[in-house]
Amino acid sequence: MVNQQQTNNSAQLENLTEALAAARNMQQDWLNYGLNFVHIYVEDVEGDWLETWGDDEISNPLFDAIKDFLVSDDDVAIKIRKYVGDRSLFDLAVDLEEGLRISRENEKISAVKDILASDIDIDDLELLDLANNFVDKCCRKNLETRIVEV
Amino acid sequence: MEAKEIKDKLNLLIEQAAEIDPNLTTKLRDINRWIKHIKLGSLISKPIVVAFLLEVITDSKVWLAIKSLPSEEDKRLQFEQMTANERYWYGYLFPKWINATDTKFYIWKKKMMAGEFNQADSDIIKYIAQDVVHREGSFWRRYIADLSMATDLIVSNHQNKPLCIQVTSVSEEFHNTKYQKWQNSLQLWEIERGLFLSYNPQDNDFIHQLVNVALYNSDHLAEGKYMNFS
Repeated sequence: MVNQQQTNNSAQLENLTEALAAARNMQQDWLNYGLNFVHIYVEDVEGDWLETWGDDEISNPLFDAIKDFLVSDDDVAIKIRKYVGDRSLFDLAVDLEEGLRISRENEKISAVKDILASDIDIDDLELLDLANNFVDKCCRKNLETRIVEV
Repeated sequence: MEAKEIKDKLNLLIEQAAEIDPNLTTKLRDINRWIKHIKLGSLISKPIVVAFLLEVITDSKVWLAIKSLPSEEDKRLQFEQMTANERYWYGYLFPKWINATDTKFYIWKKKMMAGEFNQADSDIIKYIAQDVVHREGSFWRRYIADLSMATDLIVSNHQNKPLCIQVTSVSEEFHNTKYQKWQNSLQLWEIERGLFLSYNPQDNDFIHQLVNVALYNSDHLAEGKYMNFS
């Protein structure tokens, strides 16, 4: 038992030593080569790995709900579309989804408000109201979708 | 390795972290999702994304290895054997990032897209780091520190007191606003000391001067002080 524990301990220490050595080496490679250090570690940096990153993943109901909401006839959606003008709704949906994933309610609303603020030039209170309404409607809608799916 | 293996490594860490540190799992999942959407804008520099991912994977491995040590005493001993900068990063800032709700996360992509990591700036950071090492100081550089904590480099000198440094060109507009934002950001992350360094690219010797100021202040700047040097 004691021997087993010692073996585990030494394996854990070895893991840490190796991981830390890797971190140090990587920083040294950056120091020597700048950003080009990545080519030492990855052979096809400019390949299509980024384009195909999410191809094998299942759909994302929250993201789909946000996309559907933004193009819907809901008053809040109409208001957002009116304010954002030329900006791609898809890009906006990507940012909004990240905001909605924040678990604390006040931080979620604040993040959504910040995201909308980068595109919308209205007074702060109105913006907060819009963010509040959006969070309320989109989260509820997503919840309803999930219930229906179940 | 092939670039597509990066995703496998990230997914493996997400699984491993689930048992050891669920907050790290959340962060790594956020990154996974964020990367998935990057492809929408083709302007992004793939080497930067690779560098960022390699770094996050490396740091997560170190963190999980620390968290897996059986006792607090073991952890303390291992931290003692690290350099001061490593101890500051893995013992203080990186766990803070893991456990914080980074509400600015969506801005990262924008920053990367906007070319905020342009080559000239990265070269200057690299030259500063090289000069720090040349003069027997030590440095630590992390994308997470840069993107979330307004810190280009962490520098230590003789007294092993890590100092967070932000470097900016004097020609930049809104210098004061930027300084204020920088200080707010450091305070938000409870970074106790910081140095905001402005340089004039016309000045031949500016790297050496910046490093003088950085090394000196690493040893001497008091706790709770944020210094603007231009």
